[in-house]
Amino acid sequence: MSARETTTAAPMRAQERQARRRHAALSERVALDVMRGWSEQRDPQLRSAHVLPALAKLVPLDGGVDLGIHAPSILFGRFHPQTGPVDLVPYERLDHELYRIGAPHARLTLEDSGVWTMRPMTTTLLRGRVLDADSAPTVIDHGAILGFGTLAYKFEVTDEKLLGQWLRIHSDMLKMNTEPTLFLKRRGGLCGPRYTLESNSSNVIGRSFPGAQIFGADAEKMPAPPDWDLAGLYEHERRHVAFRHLSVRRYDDQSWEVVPLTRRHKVYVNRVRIHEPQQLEPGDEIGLDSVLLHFHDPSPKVPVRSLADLVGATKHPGMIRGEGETRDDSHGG
Amino acid sequence: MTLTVDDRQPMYVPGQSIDWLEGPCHVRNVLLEYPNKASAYLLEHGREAAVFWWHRAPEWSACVDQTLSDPELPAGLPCILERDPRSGAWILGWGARFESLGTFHRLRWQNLPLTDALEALMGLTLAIQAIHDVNASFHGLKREHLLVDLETGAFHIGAAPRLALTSSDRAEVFWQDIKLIGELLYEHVMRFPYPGHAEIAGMLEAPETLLQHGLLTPGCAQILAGCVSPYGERAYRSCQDVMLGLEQMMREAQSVRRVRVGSRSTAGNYPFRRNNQDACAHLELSTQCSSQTRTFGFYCVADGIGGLKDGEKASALAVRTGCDAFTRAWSYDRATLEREPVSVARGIAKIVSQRLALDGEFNPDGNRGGTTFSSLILVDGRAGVAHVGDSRILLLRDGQVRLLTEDHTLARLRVRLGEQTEAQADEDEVGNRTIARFLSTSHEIESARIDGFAISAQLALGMEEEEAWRHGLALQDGDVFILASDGAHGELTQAEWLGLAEAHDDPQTLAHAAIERVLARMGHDNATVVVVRIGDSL
Repeated sequence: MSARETTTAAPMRAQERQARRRHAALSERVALDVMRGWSEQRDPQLRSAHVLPALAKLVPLDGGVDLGIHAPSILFGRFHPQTGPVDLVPYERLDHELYRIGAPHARLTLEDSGVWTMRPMTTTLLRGRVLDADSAPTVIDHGAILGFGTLAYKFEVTDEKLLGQWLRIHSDMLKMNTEPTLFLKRRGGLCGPRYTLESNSSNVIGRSFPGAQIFGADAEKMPAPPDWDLAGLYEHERRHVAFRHLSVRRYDDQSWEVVPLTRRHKVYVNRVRIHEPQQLEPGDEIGLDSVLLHFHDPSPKVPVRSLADLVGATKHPGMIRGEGETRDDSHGG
Repeated sequence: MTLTVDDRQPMYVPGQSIDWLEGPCHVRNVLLEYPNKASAYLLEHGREAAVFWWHRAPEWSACVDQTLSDPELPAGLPCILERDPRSGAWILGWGARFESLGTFHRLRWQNLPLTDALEALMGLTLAIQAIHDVNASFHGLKREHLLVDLETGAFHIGAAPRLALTSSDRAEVFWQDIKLIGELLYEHVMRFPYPGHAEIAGMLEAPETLLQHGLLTPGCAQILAGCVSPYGERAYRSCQDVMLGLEQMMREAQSVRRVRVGSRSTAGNYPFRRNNQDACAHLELSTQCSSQTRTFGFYCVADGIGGLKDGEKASALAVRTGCDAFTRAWSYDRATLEREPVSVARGIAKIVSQRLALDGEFNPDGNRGGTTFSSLILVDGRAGVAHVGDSRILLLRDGQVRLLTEDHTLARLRVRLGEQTEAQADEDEVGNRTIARFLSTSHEIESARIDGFAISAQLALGMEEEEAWRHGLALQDGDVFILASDGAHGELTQAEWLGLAEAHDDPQTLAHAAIERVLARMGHDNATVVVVRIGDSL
């Protein structure tokens, strides 16, 4: 029933990908706010450059977008609600390219010895060699060719000295903020945009939505707009964020809790799904589907984790509930 | 023989060879000859562009010199003069293809289509304007001075023997140049030599004589009135006046492409399919301002997915939101709609996706579904497409069926992965029924995943990248667009679509007949068909 055209060949696919990339960004071509009849609050800060350096990169062999790794340990793959958030998604790929990517696919870790390892959760190719899911971590060195599904990447370590710079910027950012703050994370690490929590507010995190007039609802029934509006995120990120996703509010004088506000989108704390309000500890990671936030609370009444603990937490979030192996979660950097 | 600027130089005849411009030239045409004064020749120089050579008395050369060395002279005058450094003679030359140039010929002029003739007159008006803008005048422009592009009918000015600066802006001087426009228009419309200004002026005084004369083409009498005399209220005072008159006549002369639409949507006659989750909608906006017809059309089909009510709700909301967004685009951003129908169509799909996500979150009851969404925008002779899902948009053109959209199904995914061939994909019943991409009520889709024209369609129709992703496909008379949900396109073959289009000219009858055939096969699904027929020009 379909038109009998020949299957597109590789050069055609490359041309198609480039054409899609050139023309994908609709917001530059058409006035979406005009056409929808209401404006979104798109904070340009949410699209600013990553403040942390990339410690390594996955360079696609077919000329797609480089994926920078901005933390000593990241999870690569697709997001699936059952398996939880991932740090690094090959977001510019089309459906058929993502089809064979696992959710998640592999964990890439910079070990204490300075060497990078990969632990596959789905069948992966390393230099053409097949590594089954759940095999032990394998060392990957600079220039290694990794095969994830139908995508092939060259693994490149940027500069080994960058880890020191990374740690410094990371700790400076946290030290500078004396209030309880939520930091946006991208590709594993804090990327810059943040939101300061207010004690007497419900601190709703979500995205712009229209008022009653546009929506056709009663004015009284329309909920209040979010306090932190993430409409300015990139499209592949903001699709995960509900219009009123969750609220971070005071639990008592000393601590905070996160409250899910919708069931259509998931909320995770340290990569584990929560259904009920959950108390937060400083350093926890909150997931709005696959958009990750770092919860920072420098209140002196709460025991402050050491920097080493913090690095350890970024390396092994979610390890507390196990990814198949048991690890002591106080094992720090 | 060498050339010098010497008015005692003998005249040249066609075929004569002249040694000049670093190589031999041949005289192709004699444009104009005043013994011992102006001569204009069309020279053939090797295989290059036509070279026009004006050979004139020194005082005229000096006058042209002065005019053309004026710093106020705009660049790119339609008649470009160059001075040959060796002979000092004035050459008129540009990149026109030599073979396609000829002199004015009345029969050829009369046989041009009206719109081409008006284009040619507009070009001529611009050329006159350029000369007037630098305070010069032709002091009488004649048919013999004109050169014609034989392919398009466009005019070039080949000779200007009395071109001179003019210090006065007397009406007569202006009129001497533009009266040719009126004469040429009359000769084209009436297919008869211009009878003279006095007679035309007399005719225009009494409108009944115009009727007797048969001068009924709208806009024509107005231009004749403007060009017939330098005096009086209706006389044209500037080239802008002439252009306005020609533009008005052009708008009236332009043919209007008829667009007709028909649609039908059915729940089907399968006992276990209780409701109709399909929805479709179309919106047509047509304006006529200053006699110019502009048409804008939006057509869409949405096939709901999910439980009983969920799919119905989602597809209904999708088509309504689509129409709403299209109307806003027409109201507030018409320039983008005219320029980039594909981008606007994809933008509408993005807005529909967001609206569904809004509804899914704030009205969560019975709202866990999704929908496909395939839409077509027609703007002034171009078509834009935006598509997510397994509904299809077909184009029937020249006895062929083209699939403008690529199905977002598991079968197509496997073909792209190289895991199965096209032929296998056609047989893959399960894969064809498994949808891989749609607009959901939970997550907003990314713009990059909203498709425009399928790659196969781009290749088959010879579309450039800018056309495929921005400006859209150029329409042809006789085109038929069919938007169909999978309940319809899954039951009918390409040959059957062509047969139906042959048998039913009226799109509503066509849609009805297509659905009747689907019902006759008791498909298991809802079926919806929207037919858009690009009719013959009026």
